[in-house]
Amino acid sequence: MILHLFKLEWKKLATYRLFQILAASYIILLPLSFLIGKNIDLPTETGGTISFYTFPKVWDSLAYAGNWMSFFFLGFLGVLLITNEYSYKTLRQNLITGMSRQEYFIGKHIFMLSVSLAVAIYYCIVGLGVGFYYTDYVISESVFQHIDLVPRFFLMSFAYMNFAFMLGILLRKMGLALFFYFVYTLIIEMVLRYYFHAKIFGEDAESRNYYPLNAFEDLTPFPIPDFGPATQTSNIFLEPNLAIILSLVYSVIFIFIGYSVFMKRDL
Amino acid sequence: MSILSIQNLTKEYGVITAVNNLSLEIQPGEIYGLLGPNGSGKTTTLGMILGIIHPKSGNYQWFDGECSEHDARKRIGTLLETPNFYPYMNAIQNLEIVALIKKAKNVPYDELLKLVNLHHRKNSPFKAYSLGMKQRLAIAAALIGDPDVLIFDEPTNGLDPQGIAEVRETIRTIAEKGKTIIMASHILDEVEKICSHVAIIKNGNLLATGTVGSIISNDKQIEVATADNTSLMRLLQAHQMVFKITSDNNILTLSTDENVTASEINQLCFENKITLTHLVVRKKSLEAEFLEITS
Repeated sequence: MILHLFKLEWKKLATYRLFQILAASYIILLPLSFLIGKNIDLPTETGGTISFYTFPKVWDSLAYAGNWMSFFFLGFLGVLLITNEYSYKTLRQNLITGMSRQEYFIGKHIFMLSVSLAVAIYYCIVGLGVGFYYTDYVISESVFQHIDLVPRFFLMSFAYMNFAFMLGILLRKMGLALFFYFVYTLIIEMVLRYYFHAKIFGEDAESRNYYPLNAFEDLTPFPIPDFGPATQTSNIFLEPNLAIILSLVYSVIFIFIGYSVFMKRDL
Repeated sequence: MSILSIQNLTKEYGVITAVNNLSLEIQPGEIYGLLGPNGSGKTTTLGMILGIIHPKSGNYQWFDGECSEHDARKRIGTLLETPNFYPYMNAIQNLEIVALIKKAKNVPYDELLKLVNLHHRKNSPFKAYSLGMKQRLAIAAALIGDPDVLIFDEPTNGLDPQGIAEVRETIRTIAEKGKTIIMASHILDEVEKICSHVAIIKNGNLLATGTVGSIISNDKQIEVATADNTSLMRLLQAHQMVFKITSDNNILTLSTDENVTASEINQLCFENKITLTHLVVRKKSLEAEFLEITS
């Protein structure tokens, strides 16, 4: 059944121009975005040059670049995956033709999980390629030192897409859902965290980092160069394990919300 | 085995009851017309039995419940008022999606497209099709997997005369193969010509149901008129064979038993010294019946 549902979703999108553009953009831009800054030259007294391209640092910096890619392109994909079917009325048609709502919902998630897996594998390939190319002395240990970022990359990609998909179900219109996706992520959550949350729980409350989109982002956070104890900035990012747990919990909640609305609504 | 059995199906939208306590039974091989004016609840009823609208109460069962609801839908071909396909895909790709969902094997795509006269455009994207072509693709899609039942919702809406003729012809061809057909329509003529059974719906209520023959009935309508309709009326009211008299425009319309002939009426009047100025026999059309039932 899993393969059958995947095949169906793939067939729907493979010939769709916007999907092709999104996929191509991701494939091309992930390595490109990353070429923006090769090194940071630091004042000599703190340790010289930090390269973003060598093992194991390449994993962090590429994951951060990929975070933006997934946020934009996979968010877009998550929205169009469902809103298109509302506007073409093909969702209605698919059910009439013989799918159950449950099958349909599961099929979409199988597809999103597959896409997340594909980008995580792609992340892995680009990381290895760049790493081996730029690292002069490859120590096998350092190659896989941050390999736990691969499953985190997978989860991050799925979480963004799944959030966008839920918005697509709730709002049904592509423009509206995309608008809300970006406005919530880039503005509303910031206001909630740094204004309302700070007002209620105090300026330094760590719980302000527990919001869903922040948790997704902190799965592969900005790679702050490690300058020693002076730069221990624990309050900025979530611990990876906490980010994983929160992202899983939020994703389950979003799936649940999407599922209950989807099952109940008339088409 | 019954194809579809509906019990007390009800759907409300706010204060409006779109479908009210509807019960129907459809047997194999029937060509069942759901007849009613626009907004009478036909499409809502179809939406409910096709699983896209949740009923408020009541239930329905396909094929005596021998398979799950969505598997039952795989055995049903559906043609709705507006054909829904992926606009960027061509005819074949769209049919492949349908086949994939229905899990239909060895679908003869080319034959299907030839049947609906779309074969020459099979590589054009759906969005480039005219409404008639879209509708024809929908017919092809409805035939995938050789379904036992076909559902048509206002299949000729918005089509030009040629398109209408083509769609009706296709429906008749399918019917000849012994398939069960459920067709919603507000066009009486269409139902009268195509269907074997009919259910008349208005404001969500089932007003009448039965074979088209029984609904149309063999009741005749005889129109009579004379210089003094009052005495004529009095005479006819006393006659057992006349069920009902309506007066309109100085013409009396009589609903009578089928055995009554015009000459009997004429003779009756003549014997009672009334000379008729007007005497016409009409067989009641479904249209007249429909207007009578729904008014």
